[in-house]
Amino acid sequence: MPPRPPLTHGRRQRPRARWLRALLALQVAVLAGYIVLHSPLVPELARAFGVHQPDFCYFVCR
Amino acid sequence: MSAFAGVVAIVAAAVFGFIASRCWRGVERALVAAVLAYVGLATVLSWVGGIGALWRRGLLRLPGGALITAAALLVAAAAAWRHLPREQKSERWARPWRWEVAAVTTAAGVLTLSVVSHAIRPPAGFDALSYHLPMSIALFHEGTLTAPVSFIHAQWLAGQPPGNFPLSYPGAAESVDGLLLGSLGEYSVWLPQTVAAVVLALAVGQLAVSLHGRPWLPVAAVLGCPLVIFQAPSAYNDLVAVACLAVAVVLLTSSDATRGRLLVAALALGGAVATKTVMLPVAVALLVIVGVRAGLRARRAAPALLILVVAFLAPAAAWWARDAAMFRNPLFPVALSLGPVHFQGLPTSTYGLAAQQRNFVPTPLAWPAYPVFEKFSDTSGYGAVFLVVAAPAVLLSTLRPALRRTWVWRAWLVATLVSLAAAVAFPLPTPRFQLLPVALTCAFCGLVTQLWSSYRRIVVVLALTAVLVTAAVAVDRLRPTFTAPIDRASFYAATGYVEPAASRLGAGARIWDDVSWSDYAFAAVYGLSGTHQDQRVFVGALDGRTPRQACGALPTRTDAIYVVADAEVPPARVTATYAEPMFTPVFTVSRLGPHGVQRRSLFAVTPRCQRLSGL
Repeated sequence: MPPRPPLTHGRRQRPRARWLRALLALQVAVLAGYIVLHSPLVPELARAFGVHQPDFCYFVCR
Repeated sequence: MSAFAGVVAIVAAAVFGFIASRCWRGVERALVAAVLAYVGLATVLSWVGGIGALWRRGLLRLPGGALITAAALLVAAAAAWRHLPREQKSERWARPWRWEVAAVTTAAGVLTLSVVSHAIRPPAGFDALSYHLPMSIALFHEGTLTAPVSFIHAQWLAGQPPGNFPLSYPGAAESVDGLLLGSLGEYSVWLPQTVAAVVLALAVGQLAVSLHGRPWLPVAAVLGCPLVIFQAPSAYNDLVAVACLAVAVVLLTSSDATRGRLLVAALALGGAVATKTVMLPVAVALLVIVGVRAGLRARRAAPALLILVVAFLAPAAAWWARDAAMFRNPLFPVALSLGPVHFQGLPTSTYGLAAQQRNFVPTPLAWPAYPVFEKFSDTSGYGAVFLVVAAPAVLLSTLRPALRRTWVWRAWLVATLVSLAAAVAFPLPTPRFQLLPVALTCAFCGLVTQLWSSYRRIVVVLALTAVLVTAAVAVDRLRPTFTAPIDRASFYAATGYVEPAASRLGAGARIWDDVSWSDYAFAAVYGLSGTHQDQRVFVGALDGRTPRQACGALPTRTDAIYVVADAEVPPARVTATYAEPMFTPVFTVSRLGPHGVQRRSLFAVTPRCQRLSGL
C-alpha cells in the first residue's frame, strides 16, 4: 500500500493559514448564494416588489 | 419468442460480465462486470448488425439477432473462464460514518424517487423521444446497422436541417435500448442509464479510495447530482458513456496497473466512444495514459500497445466501418478536417448547441458562474456538493505535490483540460459534456473530510447541507413528473405533443412527421410509433412545397401526415402544403403543452398522392 498523501496534518492541528479560513468563508458564502438562488423565496420577494419574472428565474426557477 | 430471445441476450451479457470479472474483488469487480456486460453486448449487436448490412439481411431482427448475440456472448464467457489474468488486488472501502450514511441515503433516495416516478410512465425526455428511441426502433426493425442512416438521415439527405441527432451517434446505447424495447417493452428503457448512474457513483467512490480518501461523500455527490437524477430514468446515453469513461479512469489510475486492468480500461474507453462520438477527444487522451502505463510496465511495449489499440477500436469498429463505407467518413455525421484530408458531414456548429446555451447561461461569459445558478434538468445541473466541497478540494489537492504525482490527479487534469478544450473548439457548450470532469472532481471531496479537525467539522456540515439542499430542489423540480398522467396516450398527449388518435392508426401505418413549423414536432416521433412501436415514423420538413411537390418528397406508401405547429404559425402555411385533393384533413386541435400552445393536425395521404411519392 503506498503512503498516505500528506493532506492530513494530524487531527489536533488547527488551520492557521488565513487563506484557508478565507476559503472556508467563501465556501459558506457560495452555499448561501446557491440556496438563495434556488429557493422559492426569491421569486416571491421579487414579485412582491413588482418584478414578476426576474432574469435569473429563467435559469433557476421552475 | 422475441421477448424471450431478448431476455436471453441480456442474461448472456450479464453472465459474460460476471465471469470475465471473476478475478477482480469488491467494488472494482462490480464496475468491471457492468462495463464488460454493456460493452460486450453492444459490440456483438453492432457486429451482427454490420454483417447483416453486408449480406443485406436483417440479422439483427428479433428473435434471431438476440439469439446470435447470446450465443456469441456465451462463447466469450467460456473463453474468459479459461483464460483469466491473475487476481487483481484493490483497495477496500472504509465503513461509512453516520453522517455519510445520511448523505448517501438522501441522494440515493431522490434518485430512486426520480427513477420510479419515470419508470411507471412511458419513456420521456426530448432527446430520447426525438432521436435516441426512434434510432433503437429502426435498428431492430430493419435489422442492419444501415437502418438509422436510411431512417433518421432521410431529412438530411433531402437537404433538410438535421436537428441534433448526431449526438446519439454511433449508437451502442441505442442498440441496447432497442433490445430492451423488443424484449421487456418500453417500460424498461430506463435500465441502462440507471445502472450507469450507480456505476458512475461507485467508480468515483473507488477513485476517492485510490486517493486514500473516503468514498461515501463522492458517491453521494454523484448520486445526488441533478443531471444524474433527471437523466438516469431516460433513454439518453450521456450517463452510459461517462460511466464507461469513469470505470476506465479507475482502472488506468490503479496503483497496480496490471495487464488485465489496462485491457479492460481500453475496452471501456472504446465503449464510451461507441456510445457517443463526442467523447472521442477525452477517450483518446485517456488512452494515451493507458499506453504510457502499459509501456512503462511491459518488457516489449509494441505488442502490448497493439492489443490495447485493438481493444479500444473493437466496440465502435462496426459503426465506423459502416460510416466509412457509406459516407467515406468513419465519424459521420461529424464533419472532420485532419490537415489536407476532409471528411464530409455536418459541422458540430450546426447541431444548435451554441444557440441552446441560452437555456443555461444568460451570456457565454457567465459559464464560469454556471454551477451557482444552474438549472435542474436532464441536461443541466452538477449539484451543490460539487460547487461547495469538491471544487475547493481539487484546489487544495493541487497544493500537495504528493497528490499531484498520483495517476488519479493526472487523469483528472487530462480529462478536465481535454473536455473543456473540446467544448470550446468544436464548439459544444452544454453542461452534460462536462459530466466526466465534474464526476472526477467529486472524487476529491473524499479527501477534505480528512483535513484538520476544526476545518473538517465545518466541511462536514457544509457537505451535508449541500446534499440536502440539492435533494430538496431536485424533488421540487420533479413535481411535474409526479403529477403527469400514467396512461400512455394521455401521457404523450400532455407531454409528448402526440394526439392519441395519431398513435393508434394501426400496425404498419407509415406517418410523415413534419417538423417545419415547430421544434416540438421532433418530440412526437417516438409517441407516434405506437404502443408496440409498430407504426413507422419518418421525419422531415416540407414547408413551402406545393402539395404535388410534397407528395414527391414523401416516402413510398405514406399513410398520414402529422403536424405540430406553434401558435404563431398561420394555419394557411400548413394547409398550403397539405391541401386537397392530395391530402385530406382528419383533425386539427390546439393543445397547451409543456412549452405553450401548439396546433396538432393529422392529414390522410390520398392514393393519388401516394402514386407520386417515393423518397
